[in-house]
Amino acid sequence: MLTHLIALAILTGGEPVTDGPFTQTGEVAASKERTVTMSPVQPSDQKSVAIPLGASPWLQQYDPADHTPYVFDFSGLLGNSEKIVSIEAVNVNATAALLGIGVEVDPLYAPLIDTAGKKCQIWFAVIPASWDLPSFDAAGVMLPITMRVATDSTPPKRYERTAVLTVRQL
Amino acid sequence: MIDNGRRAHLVIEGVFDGPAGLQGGLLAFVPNLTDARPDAVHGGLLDGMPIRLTASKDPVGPFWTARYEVFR
Repeated sequence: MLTHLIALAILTGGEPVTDGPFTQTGEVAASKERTVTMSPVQPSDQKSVAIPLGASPWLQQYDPADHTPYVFDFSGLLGNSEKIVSIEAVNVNATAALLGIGVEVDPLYAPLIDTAGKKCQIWFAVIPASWDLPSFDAAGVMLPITMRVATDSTPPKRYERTAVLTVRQL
Repeated sequence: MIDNGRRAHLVIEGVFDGPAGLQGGLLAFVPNLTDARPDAVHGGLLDGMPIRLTASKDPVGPFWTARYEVFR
């Protein structure tokens, strides 16, 4: 695992950061096409094995050589004054591990909570050796990305949701 | 924490020999041998450790996903 994480960090040259929770706040940089909104009531259509039923996809697909931010928008799940205070976990799946796709572990690109406390931003990275894999041709691959957050409500709430990232040659 | 999973060497006789992706008790691979059906073989070696596994094919793409248990 360490080798894999280090390989991801090589993209940006930083010291890998994998321990959470992440509590840093700031302005998110992702466009609305790179923002997925979590539905309060999740539908039940199936996309693939190991992807939760009804998981929402990001509209903007991802080229394996991209290095851009993507956002989970939890505003539909939170109360008006409720804010996310920490990102407890972010996971990819086994297929992503096989293909060398992961969440960026360089501190410069660490998971971030927006200043309003409603959205969380992460960056993805694909190891350069995987950029030209045939798996990314045509329709590419759909990968579930799971995030767990905690809020400041009393008592505290916790939400874990999965969004679907399509990685293909663009 | 961020869990990007890891890669490990997987051998499933007649089905696969090479690097597989691992995360959260699941492993992913693309069969590279054709002597047996991936869902017909329920044993293998993961980094040299014997495992029991049950593989199923993703509806889209060439990937197979398997739950596995390591024998100790």
